[in-house]
Amino acid sequence: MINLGGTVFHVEEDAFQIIKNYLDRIKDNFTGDPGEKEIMDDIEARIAELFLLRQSETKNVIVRSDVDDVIAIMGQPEDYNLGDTKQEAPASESTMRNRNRRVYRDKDDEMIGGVCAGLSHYFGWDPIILRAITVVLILVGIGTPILVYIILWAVIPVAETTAEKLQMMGEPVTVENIRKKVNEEAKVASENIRKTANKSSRNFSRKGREVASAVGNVISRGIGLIFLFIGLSILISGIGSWIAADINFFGAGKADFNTIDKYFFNNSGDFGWLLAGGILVIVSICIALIYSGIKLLFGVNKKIPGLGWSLTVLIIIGVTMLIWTGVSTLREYSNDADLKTTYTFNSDTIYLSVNDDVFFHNSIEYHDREFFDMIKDDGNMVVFGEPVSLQFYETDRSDFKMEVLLQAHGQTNSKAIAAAEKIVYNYTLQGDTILLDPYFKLPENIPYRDHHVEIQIFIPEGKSIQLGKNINRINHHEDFDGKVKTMGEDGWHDEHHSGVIFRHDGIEITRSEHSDSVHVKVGEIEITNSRN
Amino acid sequence: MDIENAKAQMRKGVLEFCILGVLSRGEAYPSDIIADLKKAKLIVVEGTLYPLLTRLKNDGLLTYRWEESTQGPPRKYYQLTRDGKKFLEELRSTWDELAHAVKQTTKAE
Repeated sequence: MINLGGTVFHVEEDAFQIIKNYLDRIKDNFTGDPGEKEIMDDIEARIAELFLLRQSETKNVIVRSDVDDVIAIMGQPEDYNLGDTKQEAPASESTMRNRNRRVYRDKDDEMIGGVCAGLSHYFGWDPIILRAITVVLILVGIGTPILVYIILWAVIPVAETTAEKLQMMGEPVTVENIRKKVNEEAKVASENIRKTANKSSRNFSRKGREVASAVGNVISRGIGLIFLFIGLSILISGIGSWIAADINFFGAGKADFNTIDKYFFNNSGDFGWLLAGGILVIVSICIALIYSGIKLLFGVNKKIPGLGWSLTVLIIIGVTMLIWTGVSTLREYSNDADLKTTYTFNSDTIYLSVNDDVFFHNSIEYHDREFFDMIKDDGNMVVFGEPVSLQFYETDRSDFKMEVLLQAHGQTNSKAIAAAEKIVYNYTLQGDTILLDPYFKLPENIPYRDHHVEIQIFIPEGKSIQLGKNINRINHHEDFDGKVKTMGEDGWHDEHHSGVIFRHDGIEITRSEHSDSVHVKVGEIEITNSRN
Repeated sequence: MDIENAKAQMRKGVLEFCILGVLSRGEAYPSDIIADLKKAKLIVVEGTLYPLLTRLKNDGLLTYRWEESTQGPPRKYYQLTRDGKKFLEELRSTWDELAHAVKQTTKAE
């Protein structure tokens, strides 16, 4: 769409570019001319008239050939300015150019306000160098150079007329040019005196518009920079971890691709589909971010044809793959089952210890365990690192109770039970001594369906448990190893104490073996008596 | 001396003279002026005319009035001012003298 002489025309994209470029070039011929606006209005009105002649009931879009016809009638931009050859100044040597050079801001090549572009023209650099330096300075100077930029922006005028633009780029100094310039300025001067009053008010509103456009530029370039940064960092870190994964999927000692595909998914290859879908979605989004980031950052209007919809299609395909494998996998986990074995102990104290870890490491603590810790045993069993946990509970019963729960998920309840039955978990009971394994095993051909082993120990009030080694391998308490714990009214009793007696009437007597002292508490009165 | 520039200046001067001449026959719209100039092969493209008209108007030689058009934007109808008529008379006599002089001096033996 273009508005010419008060009439709006629908113009095809390529025709639009030509006509816009044409008008801009004509305008360049008259910049600085006191009659500039009037001349342009007349020309646009005539072009509008010629366009209207080329429209009909059936054809109301201006196409390339219409524009070519009109330009043939109106003539090339240089035909408009007989004799005033100021734009035809020949390029001359740089020593000549420098002499008449002045600093202007270049609005035609601006990123924010054209300061960098203008200064670069002055020094004869490529603007990108100064821009890069500016960005670095702003980062290093924690933003303070922005102030310098704003000052430069306010102080340096915009190159508006052709003459100023030539001066900004370095105009050749010739007698002809100087004479022309003097004439021009004398002509403009008289105009200026008449127009000073309203021109200053126009300047004011123009400055306002300039500020608005600079703010708009900052915002859109900022968003562009953020987009570009996010897109690039996701892509680079993604590629980095992919390279790492090529060596070993989740790091040394963890399950590899095939193991995960085989044990966690319904169908062989689902994991591949899930990964491919994820990569497709992430890469597409990254490309979209980088593309729109570059467009915003550098103010590029050019579109890459088909990129938008092909990215959309790729994202849809990726999401479909994710949903497909996701649903198929999640169905496998939709039901759960617990197989419970219960033991009771009549003694006052039980002894609990965890076997040494022969597959992983004894020093792995509860919080350090990772989901993908899987190792193949000699007997073709897979050992899972994580899913054994030990819990202590207080109970109103009079004797100790231990429950061993084998847990698994499945597509149906019976499948979940069947899966749980496949767990091979070793523990030994000898009188009041319990010895637990820190891991369990599954036969190699059994897929992993969130198998867990949970050992729950219920401790009656006033009874104690002697904790052996490696407890923190399967229990979240960090400091239980080698300690004696007694269940009091308010939960676990203080550490370091043994032979503790608890009474419901609020009297407590504890004897510490380490300090060889007796601690007595009756209601609110506390007495600690040391034998030494 | 730049021959292109000299030609352009000459053409420009002659064109201004001719535009004033066309308008001396009565009020006209740019397209009418162009038609006349094209017939005389003085200009080939329309674009040349608009800046000339504006400059002549700004110099006070021409004036115009708006007229609504059925075919598009309103049109400017130009006519000579009193200054314009005087200027044209001067140009005419200068031209005649010049043409005569040129004829005399460039005449082949």
